[in-house]
Amino acid sequence: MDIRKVRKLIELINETGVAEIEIHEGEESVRVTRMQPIPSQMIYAPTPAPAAAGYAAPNLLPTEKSLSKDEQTLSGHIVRAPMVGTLYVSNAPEQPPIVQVGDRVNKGDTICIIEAMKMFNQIEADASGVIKARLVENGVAVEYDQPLFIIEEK
Amino acid sequence: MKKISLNSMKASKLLSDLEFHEPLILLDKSKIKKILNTKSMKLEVYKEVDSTNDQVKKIYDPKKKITVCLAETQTQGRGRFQRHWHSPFAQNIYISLLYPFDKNISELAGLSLVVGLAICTMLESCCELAKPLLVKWPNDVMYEGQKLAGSLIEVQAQTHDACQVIIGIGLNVNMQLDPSKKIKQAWTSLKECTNQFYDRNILTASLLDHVAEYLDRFSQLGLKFFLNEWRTRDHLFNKPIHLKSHHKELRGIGQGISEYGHLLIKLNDNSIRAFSAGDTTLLK
Repeated sequence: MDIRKVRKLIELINETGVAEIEIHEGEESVRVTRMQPIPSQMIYAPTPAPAAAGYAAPNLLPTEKSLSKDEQTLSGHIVRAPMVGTLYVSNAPEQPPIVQVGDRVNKGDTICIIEAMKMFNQIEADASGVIKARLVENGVAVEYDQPLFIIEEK
Repeated sequence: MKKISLNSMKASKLLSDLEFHEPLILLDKSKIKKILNTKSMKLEVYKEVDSTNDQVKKIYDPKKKITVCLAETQTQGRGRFQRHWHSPFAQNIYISLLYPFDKNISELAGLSLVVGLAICTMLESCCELAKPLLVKWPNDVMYEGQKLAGSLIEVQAQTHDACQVIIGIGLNVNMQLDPSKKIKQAWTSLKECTNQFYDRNILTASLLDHVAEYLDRFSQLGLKFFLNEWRTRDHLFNKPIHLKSHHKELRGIGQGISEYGHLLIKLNDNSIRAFSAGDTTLLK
């Protein structure tokens, strides 16, 4: 396959925010996958001075607005993170998840918890339906507005 | 017969809880109300509840600004991740406040730090402490490196621009011993720090007044207003610390907090990073 085509694909993936793309041409095929940021608690502080006015929460990681593969292929209502913090799918480590894929939820039901600084925020479903996908892992840092769940409204 | 033996077991546990501090002054709703300056507060006192945070949700009164639940003991007292909070009968303060905010959840960053500061100010106004009280990010109140009070906040969104917060506070007051070694970290109590016995009714009224005042100010002015106060009480500032979160552990030097209340840590490569969750400990 022409290297220029591969380059074009890389450009395309960067421009569109698509997570993964695969092209078949005769016998050959090429798959380009965007590097996902390593799930982490870390938020980069722009300056060493703690007092310096810093950053806005929504701009902390560059991929904040990009759509994941799941989000691309699944349609439905997207529940987004209302705040920055660490996401937990259950109330305590040894407990089962609050909701699982396939569960029916009503608007207002708690579906996960986001912790920031020992504040535990109950994140509620903002639509009624069936949980079609969970887009984040337990215990990872989530950004403001990051897609968390997809609910199929029925 | 079985019932009698169970009751006598309960009585002996109660006696063992009580034997190390005299006199016994129980919590008294009317006494607290008399001392309290804050108006528009519903206050209920219980002998025993599962957890004050759960109970306060059940007694919520929308006609009052603040709803408060106070208990002599909790059977399911808990901290972060449902960790057990030791709640021996009539020795400490176990209290939860339900407070409404006309704010979006994302605007509440830093609230837990402000609660820690309120507890410190209240304690220094009521008790003669030889050393300053510090706050270990985000909100553990420390005296000489030992935990004196802790809090846990739950947030329930109501609509887009309104939410309720439930602030649970545990303050060690007259507790002197932990014979069953239920507390998994270095702790202290006011009795241990000052060698004095305290009437918890007086402390509770002062605690409620201070927390209500700090919450009102946070509601109006945000965390920015408290950044200077935080600097004077930052237990981790410029000290080597260890941070453990769900996925990783790391070491660095405490560098204060960001304007959102996130903990800033200088790592080995001199970069400074901000963290929104995790357990911190000071390295010796």
